[in-house]
Amino acid sequence: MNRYFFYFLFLLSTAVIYTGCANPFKDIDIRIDTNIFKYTAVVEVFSNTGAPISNATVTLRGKDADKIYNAEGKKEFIVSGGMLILALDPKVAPQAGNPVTFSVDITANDYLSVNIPITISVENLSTMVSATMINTKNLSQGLNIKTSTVTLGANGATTAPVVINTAPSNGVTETVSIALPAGTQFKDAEGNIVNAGALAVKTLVANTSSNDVQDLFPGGGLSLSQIKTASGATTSGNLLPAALTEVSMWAGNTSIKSFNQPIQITLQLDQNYFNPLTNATVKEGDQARSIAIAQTLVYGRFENAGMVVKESGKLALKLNTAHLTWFTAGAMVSSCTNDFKIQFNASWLSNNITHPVTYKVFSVANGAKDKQLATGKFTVTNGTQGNLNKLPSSAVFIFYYDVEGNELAAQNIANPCSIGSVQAVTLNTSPVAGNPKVTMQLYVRCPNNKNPVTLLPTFYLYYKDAGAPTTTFKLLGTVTKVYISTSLLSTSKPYDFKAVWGSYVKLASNKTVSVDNAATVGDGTNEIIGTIAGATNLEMLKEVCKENGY
Amino acid sequence: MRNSIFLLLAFLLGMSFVSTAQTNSLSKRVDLGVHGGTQGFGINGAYSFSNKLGVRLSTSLASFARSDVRTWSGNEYNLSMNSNSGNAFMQAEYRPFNDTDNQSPFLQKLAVTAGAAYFYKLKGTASGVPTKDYQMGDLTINKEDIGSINATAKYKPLAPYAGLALRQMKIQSKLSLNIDMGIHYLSAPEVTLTGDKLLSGNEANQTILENNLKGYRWLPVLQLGLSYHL
Repeated sequence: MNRYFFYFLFLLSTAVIYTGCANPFKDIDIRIDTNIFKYTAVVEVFSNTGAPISNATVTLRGKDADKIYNAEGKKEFIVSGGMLILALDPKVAPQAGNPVTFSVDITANDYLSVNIPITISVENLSTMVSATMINTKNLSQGLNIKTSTVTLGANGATTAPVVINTAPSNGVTETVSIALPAGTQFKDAEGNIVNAGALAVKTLVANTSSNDVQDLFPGGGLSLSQIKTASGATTSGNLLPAALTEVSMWAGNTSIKSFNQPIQITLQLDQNYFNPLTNATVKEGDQARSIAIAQTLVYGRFENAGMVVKESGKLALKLNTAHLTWFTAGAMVSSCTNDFKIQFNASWLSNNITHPVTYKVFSVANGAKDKQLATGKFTVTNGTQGNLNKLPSSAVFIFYYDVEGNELAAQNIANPCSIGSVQAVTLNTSPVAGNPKVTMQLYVRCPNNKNPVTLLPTFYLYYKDAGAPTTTFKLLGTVTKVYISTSLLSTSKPYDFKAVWGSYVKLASNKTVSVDNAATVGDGTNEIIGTIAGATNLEMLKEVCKENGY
Repeated sequence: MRNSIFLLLAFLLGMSFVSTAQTNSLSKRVDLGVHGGTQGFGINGAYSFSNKLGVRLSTSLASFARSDVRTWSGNEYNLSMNSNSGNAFMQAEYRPFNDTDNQSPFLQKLAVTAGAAYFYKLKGTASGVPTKDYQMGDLTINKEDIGSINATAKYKPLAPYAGLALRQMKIQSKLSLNIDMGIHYLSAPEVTLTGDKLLSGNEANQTILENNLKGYRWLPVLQLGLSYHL
């Protein structure tokens, strides 16, 4: 045998073996998970009319505002699909007793601006709050606006005393009276006297006897974390309003912020107001407080502490002020410094099934629930813990509701501040719990890519009965790693779905789910690209894929 | 890596040319030796029953490391790859042309070998860490906080072997050179791929990697040894 033949054979076989193996890294695609946020806060923004709010301007303020980003890690905040998604810098973590706090201002044309205080505590990974924005051109029942015009003198001052009175209307029985003394001059935000010939005055009056007055309250809640007293000190407390008004003025196109001398505002009170300081219905001679609430900061300022008087046979409180904002009158109850800790027991929410549980905190009047002080939402599975903060140091009722508004549990707490231990909340089985456990797994395949995307951001999924008004969308849950399991859906009727991720909102209509649902979003055969504006969806998919390097 | 193997191969072949000038061996002998090559380094012992038939028992240990920089989805990773193997190896050797009347010294030393190795250790690992911080919007995530991706490929311990060898190429009276060239047939590798921190969730790549490594079942052996005849 020729020795060279052997060498050749060996070389050939070795080369074939060595080069015959595939590149081990072929088609490997390692991605960095963009779900980098541990703590998030979602503000659900509702209009009093149910209409979606567009072109809203969002501004963050407060000590920790610089630590807040949107879901894409940017300092751009947009209300999309009725949601504002906020996330805490992952390098920052709230500490026990030192939560992350900031506030969100939302303004939009034809809407009264709102200021939402947000607290992210160490226990609440996902904070959900809601804000109702009032459309001044389409007021709902319980709100009343009066617009008046006052002629001013050559120096921009009132030439004689002026009194503006609102009248009961649109479900509002209380009235407000504004008295401008002669010689009152009007100042802009910089403190400059404005001389524009005529003054437009807009006075909004809210019915505070409603249980859900909190929804209308600037700040989204009746708990104020910083209230400046006359001495300059600060305190905090829960406000139980007997009257609520917002007064705004313009001279020409200039918004008026203050005056050269105090004006007097008379707030007619809810005549059936339960005074928690006397434990009786309000009466003449009671002590009451009026508070000015800044629209752009989460604080209030005591304007006046005075006696309830009778004006034209109605109980009222008078206050003198040299600036304009929201004003309220009523009693203040100090807030707890400790959180009220709860843990949910819900055997019907085992196996990681989640359910959005809404809580509402009410003050107590004559042993019954009175004004709604706070509301919030937890995504609950059996054993979920949560905190309710800044509850009042007085008796409260706390009610827990399922997604359909069915009451699941109630607590009657004499003083939340005196309870330090975790309180068990046993949730009765929700009527919607009879639905089967439905799992939904969504894959996304970018056009021109062979494999589905391995990592997708967390997004929020809403649902409503197919064809129902858009105002009835309810949160189904958070879709994490493109997977959600729920018992909120029936497999025998169609639903409309809305997905919100950052500034993206997508709708899918008239879908009936089965027990196990898996779908791939893409442009291939048997893949889905959406039932509404499919071409737009494809462009959006391409755009997002490109942004993310797919 | 590939170039290194072919250089080694050329070296071994060159050595075999030198050794073919030696004479063939005697029957019934015992050799002890050391070896080195693609299986690492080890020791061996051989017993020849006759001029044509013998057995060899050996053990080897190998550890190879390599680093690389790879880019996935626009993010660069430092990749550290390691392979570790250790085996006990038994092979039978048959020298069909080792006759005294054979005129080719090369063919006299040519042995056909077959056997099996028990790999008490045969594992490849790869670990990737980002080389740079990650920018998400206005946020910068430190590379240390991104995490790492780790892959392993493990084989079952038993692997049959077949090959050719050149035996007893004398250097001195009792010292001789051996060359082994052959292939182990391995089981399909058991692959795992995991990530931590922000690289968790990449487990879908495990199936892809497993498919890519499906062909990695032939383990070539190129080995040079020195034997001492007792």
